[in-house]
Amino acid sequence: MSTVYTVRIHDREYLIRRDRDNNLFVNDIPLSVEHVPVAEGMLLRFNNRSFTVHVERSPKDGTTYLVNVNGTSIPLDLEDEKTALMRSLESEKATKLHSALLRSPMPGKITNVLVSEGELIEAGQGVLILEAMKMENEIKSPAAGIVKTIHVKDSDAVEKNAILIEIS
Amino acid sequence: MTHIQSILVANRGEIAVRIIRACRELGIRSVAVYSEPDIASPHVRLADEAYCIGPAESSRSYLQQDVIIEAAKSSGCDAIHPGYGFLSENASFARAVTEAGLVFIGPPADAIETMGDKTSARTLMIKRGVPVVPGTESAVQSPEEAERIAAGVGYPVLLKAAAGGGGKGMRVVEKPEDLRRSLESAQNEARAAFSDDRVYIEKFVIEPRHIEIQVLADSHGNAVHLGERECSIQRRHQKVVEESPSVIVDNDLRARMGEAALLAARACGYVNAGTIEFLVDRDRNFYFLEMNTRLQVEHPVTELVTGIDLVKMQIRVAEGKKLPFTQDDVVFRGHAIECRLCAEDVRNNFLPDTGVISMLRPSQGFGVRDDSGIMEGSEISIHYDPMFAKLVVWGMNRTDAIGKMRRALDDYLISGVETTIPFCRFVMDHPRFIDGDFQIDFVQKHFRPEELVQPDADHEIAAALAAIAAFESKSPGPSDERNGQPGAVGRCSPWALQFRAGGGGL
Repeated sequence: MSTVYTVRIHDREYLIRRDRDNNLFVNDIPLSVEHVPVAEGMLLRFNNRSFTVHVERSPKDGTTYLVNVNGTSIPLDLEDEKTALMRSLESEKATKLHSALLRSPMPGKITNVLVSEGELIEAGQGVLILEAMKMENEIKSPAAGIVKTIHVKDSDAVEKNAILIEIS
Repeated sequence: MTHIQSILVANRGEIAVRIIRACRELGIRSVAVYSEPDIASPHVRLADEAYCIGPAESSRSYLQQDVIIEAAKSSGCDAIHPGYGFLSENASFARAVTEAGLVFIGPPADAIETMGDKTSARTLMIKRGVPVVPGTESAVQSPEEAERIAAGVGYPVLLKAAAGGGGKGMRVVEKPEDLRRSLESAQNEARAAFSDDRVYIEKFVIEPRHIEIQVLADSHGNAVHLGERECSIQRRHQKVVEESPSVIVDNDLRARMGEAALLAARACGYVNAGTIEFLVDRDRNFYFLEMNTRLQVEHPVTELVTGIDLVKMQIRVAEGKKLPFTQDDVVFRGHAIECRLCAEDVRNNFLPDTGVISMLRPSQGFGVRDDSGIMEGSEISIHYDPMFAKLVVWGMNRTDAIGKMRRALDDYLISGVETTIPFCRFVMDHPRFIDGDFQIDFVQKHFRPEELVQPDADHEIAAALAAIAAFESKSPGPSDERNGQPGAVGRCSPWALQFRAGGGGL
């Protein structure tokens, strides 16, 4: 019995499998990895190269990790077999609903809402202004669609990840 | 002449650290002030003494003039260094410090006031013969007047709505025969957009670069310039990469710009370190933009090419001492580049990021200077500027410096926030930057987030393995579930166990 994980990074997918004898395979190619705990996290060595790795964010729920490798942050999605199965069942449901949520990327204050409910918007269109760190930041829509619900108004203080706008 | 023995540093972050270092090297006692969340910051730890001046919001801490002056007095300081930002260009603060019997390490309050007002500064510069972008001081009254002015300043000209913003009511006019039509449409657009059809004319600066001159003046009438800094790589009208010298400034242009900068400094009775910002066009004409009456963020590049410690000079000049060198003694050596490291997501329109620094290992080695205001465990919050450090390199020449900066950016390990490091790396690799062929619109014109250096497959596999280890160490391993055993610490996955033990291969 082996353990299999699917890792997605941008548009690439890695199938990582460990067999009963703890042999590691990446996309079915065997890989021998040495690892040493270090102050910064962990040192991984393979292919005669060294990688200092450090998990910056691991999800409480969900599958998105942020891992720092030699100073570069790499966001990735990790699924074990069980999660992958769940997702394939859920994705059928999700396609029916088809709505996108715009969340606040950081804590701050809403200084201007640029769209109104029912408005047709394009992906990348500026939808509101969030003031944080002395700067006004234009927040752009992640998707094209119709503004379904606006959850905030001018001068609202918002937390990181707060839902700002629902787009359907 | 005063002899300064204790300095209160009215700032935080990397610039507070920079000033405290200078104090310690001079044997001057340093006193820090801090807001409540900054209690464990490097500047607090490095100073000889530190005083809490209020809660996180700047308006209730770092901007509290009375509280800061009171802290300086009660801690026995004889001077205040404002750093940059916060109270550094506040004339009333400079005045209040002096009136409290303390030395303000910066220019006289009157000079701050004169140069702080754009219109009065421009008028003064014109009077003293410092070149400004030629144009009208008031809105044009008629097409005939517009034609006369445009011919005077020379084509191409820029028509600008008085109430302008967002490019509305703005027109570039290349040829005299297009002027009337463009003026009419600019006025119409301005009227529609702002209900105000007043339009100004100024010379259109072609392919502008932002180049500034550092000056240093003492209270005995001596003033020198320390050459230029090229600051054209900007986002949101804020600099990200600065260098000295500029590839387009030769000895002759440097001497002329330096002379103009000194003229500007003398015009406002300037004492201490200051910077005159110029726009430089394709044909190397330069025009006064504004004067920054304080130490600049990017001062280290000047320090590296001149070997002059600007903060120490500020302190000495504030004591009433004479500059220890003349213009002829100033020599420029090699090339320096600075990259501002800010907590920002460069893939997402440079949106500021917040978080706790979970890992930090700055770059080292010959010619690498790390001016930083953070440590592991520091929090970058919404309350202050997202710039947390400056990475500065010195090389024998520009090519050497670019290679050094590339290496230093690659070596800089930080985790916890998104940073401008990938953007700076993009700049160092960009042929336009390498050739020195760039203007202030470099980011809009040439920056494509999708062209950022991408980690190779091995990096991604390393990331994947680290995530799997994290996943397995927090959930009961699959083997546990199979065997029906509880996911106790000793029974977690073989991978996590091995990571902890640090032995064997995965």
